[in-house]
Amino acid sequence: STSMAYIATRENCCILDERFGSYCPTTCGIADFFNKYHLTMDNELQEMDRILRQITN
Amino acid sequence: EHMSQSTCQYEKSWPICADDDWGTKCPSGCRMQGLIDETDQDYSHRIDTIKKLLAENQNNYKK
Repeated sequence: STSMAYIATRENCCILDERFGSYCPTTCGIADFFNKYHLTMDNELQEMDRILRQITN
Repeated sequence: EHMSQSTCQYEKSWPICADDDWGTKCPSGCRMQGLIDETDQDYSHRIDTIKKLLAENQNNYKK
């Protein structure tokens, strides 16, 4: 993964208008990412927890 | 300044969203931050539990 900020340019953003300042993801994008992250993490944590409890028994 | 209860209710009488609204109409940033923080707390707690279990079991096997 990269920690570099995504900066809007003429090439990657067809609605770019500098008068509106810098561009950020919408909260819909944030919610979509959050959902994906949430599902993956939830499954992985559940699985790790399950395996560890199996070892304990 | 705080809005009166009636103004607040009036301003919330929006129509129910359609699927097509996703992308043009989005959740509040405050709400998203709250959900993210809540989930982060939940996961931190669960990770700590896993760490604890792991450490306990490691010690049991060493004996």
